[in-house]
Amino acid sequence: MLFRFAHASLGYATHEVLNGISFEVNAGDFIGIVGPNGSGKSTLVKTMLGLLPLRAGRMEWRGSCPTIGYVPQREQIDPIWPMRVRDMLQFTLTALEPPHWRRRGEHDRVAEVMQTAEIDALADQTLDTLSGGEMQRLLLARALIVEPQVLLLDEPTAAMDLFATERFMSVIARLHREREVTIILVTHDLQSLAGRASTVGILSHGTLHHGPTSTMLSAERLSEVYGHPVHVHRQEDQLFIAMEGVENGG
Amino acid sequence: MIADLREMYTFEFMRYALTVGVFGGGMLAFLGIFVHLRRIVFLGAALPQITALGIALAIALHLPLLAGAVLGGLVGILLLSTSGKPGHLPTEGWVGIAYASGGSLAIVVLALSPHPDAGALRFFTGDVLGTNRAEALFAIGVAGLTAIIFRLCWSKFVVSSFDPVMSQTLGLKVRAWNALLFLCLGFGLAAVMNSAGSMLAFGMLIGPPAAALMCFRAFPKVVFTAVVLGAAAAFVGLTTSFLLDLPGGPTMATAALAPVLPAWIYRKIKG
Repeated sequence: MLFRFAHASLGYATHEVLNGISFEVNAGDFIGIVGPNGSGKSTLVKTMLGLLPLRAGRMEWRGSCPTIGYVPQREQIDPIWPMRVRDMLQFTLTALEPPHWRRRGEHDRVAEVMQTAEIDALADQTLDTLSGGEMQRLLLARALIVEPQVLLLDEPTAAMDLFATERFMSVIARLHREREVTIILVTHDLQSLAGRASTVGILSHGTLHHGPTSTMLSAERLSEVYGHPVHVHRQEDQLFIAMEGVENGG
Repeated sequence: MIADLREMYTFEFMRYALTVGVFGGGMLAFLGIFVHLRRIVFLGAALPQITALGIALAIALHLPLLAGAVLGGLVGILLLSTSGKPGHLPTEGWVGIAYASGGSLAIVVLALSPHPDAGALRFFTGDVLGTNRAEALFAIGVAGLTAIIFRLCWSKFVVSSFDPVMSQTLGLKVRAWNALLFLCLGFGLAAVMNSAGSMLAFGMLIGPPAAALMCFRAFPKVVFTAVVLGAAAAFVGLTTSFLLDLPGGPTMATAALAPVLPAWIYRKIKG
């Protein structure tokens, strides 16, 4: 066990968002967290990052808390900042060091994470020239700077085109496969979890239901969560999901 | 021409005014980069007004003006950095209230002051020629300290301002770095306000960094350009005001804002 919630209540000082949350994450897991808008995904992410205190229950890490690499949605990034891709990574790295007077050369780690996130060709581009997919891979590279044991990704593929989504997810899958980084992926994109996530947690009606991906991404489960009939068709690792009746308000 | 300039700056009051303009202006131009990038320009406008209220109170209570300026700046930062929570009013609303009430109350306090000071209005009109030696030294000291702090902790300021949430997850003390940034801003504004008024302080805080950000897309060039433009605006503005018999502070503020138009045209042409 790497991490677990036990009978946890999550939320803000004035109101509870999620209750009765109990689940475990093991080292090397790939876990998907899904749920409709307003179901508490952001609350869960903030709590796991230590930005929100628990209202009740327990949140435990095995031993000391591992290094978490956080990948936010790219909309949180303001591209008016006058930085190149390599500058942003260098700043992040040097911000973690003690204050220093002399400027240091670029760390090897910057080049390494740019290569891992497949943005080495963009090193000298400024933030305002990056596409959505490129920006998201830059945020992934920034999270990798700290050599994380756990990657926590908050809807990284939202509003991304199919090619950019596949490219991003292939980098994540490679990190999970080759470096055994524990992945916790919060997403709306159910298709991207099929064939990748071993476990899926669904946030619904103020609590979390979790289990193996094949069970959780079933037509019955998803219909219950989203309140609409959902059809699921599997073909090898691909998952095709269709929801009926939405356009008629049904 | 050179001889004229030399002669102009043989006057002590001109040298003090230039010192505050160059050091204070350069410092505020640098800090203004963060004001623009963090999208808190309104806060930059309100702070000088609250600092002015601090100066007015210091005059009324017969206290050192510098103490009033520093205290006003710090109280303003404290109020504005914690506003936006009660009463469901957005932060901009509180900043607007601070701007309007700071400026108007400062004048009311001066009018009611039991210790009328004929020179008090210079803090509002920006008569930089009234600067004395202590004020000039204070500006040099604050600028020097700000330069040292930012040189040592540059990346911490950038990262914690750029993405506070991510910075917190990395273990950076975002609130502490924000507090230090605002403290530098408060002292910087106090240093310039105390001798040159709110108009010049706000002009320096906004004009040079705006032009630099429109021209360049890399921090070293932006910082260098903003600081040079701020310092140059002080010299050009003060010299022009002397030669044409114009008010010093507003002329320097105009010189600080002058590069914005050519920078905007440059950005439009470059695309």
